[in-house]
Amino acid sequence: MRRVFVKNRDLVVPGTLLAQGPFKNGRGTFKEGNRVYSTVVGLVEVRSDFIRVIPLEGPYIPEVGDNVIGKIIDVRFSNWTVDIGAPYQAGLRVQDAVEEKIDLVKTDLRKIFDIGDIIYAKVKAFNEVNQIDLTTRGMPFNGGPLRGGQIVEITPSKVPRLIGKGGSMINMIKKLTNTRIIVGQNGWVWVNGRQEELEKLAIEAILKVNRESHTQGLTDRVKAFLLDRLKELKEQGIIEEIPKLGEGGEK
Amino acid sequence: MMGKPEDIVLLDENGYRIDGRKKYELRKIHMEVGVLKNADGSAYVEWGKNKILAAVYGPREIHPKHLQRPDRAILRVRYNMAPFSVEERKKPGPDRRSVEISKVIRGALEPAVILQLFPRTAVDVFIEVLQADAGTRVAGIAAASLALADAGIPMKDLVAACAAGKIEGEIVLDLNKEEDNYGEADVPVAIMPLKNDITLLQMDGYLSKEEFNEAVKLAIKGAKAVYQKQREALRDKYLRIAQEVGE
Repeated sequence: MRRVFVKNRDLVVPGTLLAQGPFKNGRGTFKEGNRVYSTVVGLVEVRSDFIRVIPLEGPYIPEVGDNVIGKIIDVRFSNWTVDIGAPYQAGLRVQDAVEEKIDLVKTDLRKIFDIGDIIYAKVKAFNEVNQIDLTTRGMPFNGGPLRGGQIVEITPSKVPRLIGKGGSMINMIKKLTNTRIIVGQNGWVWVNGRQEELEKLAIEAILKVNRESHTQGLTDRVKAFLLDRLKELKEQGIIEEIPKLGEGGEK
Repeated sequence: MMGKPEDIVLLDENGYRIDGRKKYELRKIHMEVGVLKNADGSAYVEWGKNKILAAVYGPREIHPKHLQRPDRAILRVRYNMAPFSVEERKKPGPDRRSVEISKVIRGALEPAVILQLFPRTAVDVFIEVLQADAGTRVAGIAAASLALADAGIPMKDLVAACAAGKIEGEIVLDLNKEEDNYGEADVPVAIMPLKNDITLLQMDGYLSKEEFNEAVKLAIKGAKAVYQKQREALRDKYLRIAQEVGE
């Protein structure tokens, strides 16, 4: 016998009774007897025998295979320490960063990645003692360092929302603002625009998605917002043309 | 109990208290979450004349390393009163009272937070009392538990808290400053309402066994009302945004 006390996409707070019966419970929930309760503030997701809560705030929990953006915070003899916004610091070893064998005595690792550099890396391992290993091998432009631009932080659980179905949201922002954007699964977003105003506009759009992620019809609203602001920028003479979107993107 | 000025009547013949409340009435409570930009989670609570700000940081790495627990996160709580929070300027910094309150609040929050999910880390809770009018520890617990939820730290339940006490021989709910100073007893209680677990229970003053039982029961009732307000405050942060965009 299964009973569900909430609907899909309902907003719940910690300690809310979600369901009763033989459910599999995912993240954001806990089980007591045969009852399932929420542990975070978030939106409910119920499928036939599975229930979980997608949090609206919270720390980044690394998963193997995640592509993340990180900041080098220390350079050691044969490895780097990287901040990826997780509760634990991550490590990047030399052999995970460069293809060829290098002589550690003769090479200065700061020539590859220096303190403060922004890198694009993959989570290689996240083990029982909470050690996070990264790798930049096989990543676009060998992981960086990403020059210029700036980092915007959003809640990690909202990354899928920022990307959108099949990349619809992020591609729209990229196209309309003519900006290079890389989204890390850890909620760090690297934004680099050709023009300062457009970079600012892209960041505003990203933060808007972050703030309003729990509402419906967000893609259309962000599109309207961007077109609106682009028109203003055009009138001010900052940009010459409003970039065209593919299918029926123009108003 | 001691040195009560003659002209103060804590409970008049019509059953009204010094601030116009009835015996079992809470003070006016206002709660808001997400008020601080740089904290991972935050909350602001106005409870009568109490004004309390709570901020949560973490889970984050601990230094010094020997404080780390290999099986769980540690919870660190700092309760602090601003020098201007009371009538007579308070000397800044931790004193015996605030160190003890920090400790009991940590004990009140710990059972609710699922610390096993983040081994070797620390969750830091800062409670700043900006204006005090009795019952700051229960208001602080309410604010801290909101801030923890706002930070997205998994919890089994919110922790709600409220105090009851005795004035003029009667058990009443939620003492204010005059009642706390000149009343006979004060019983702060914190609970996790889902299973009625008591996570904090203190008593200052003298009560008989029957009076104590009555006070605890009353405080639990008050805490449950606070609990509803906490849930509303958490939902309100997101419902307001949804409303703004016209949903």
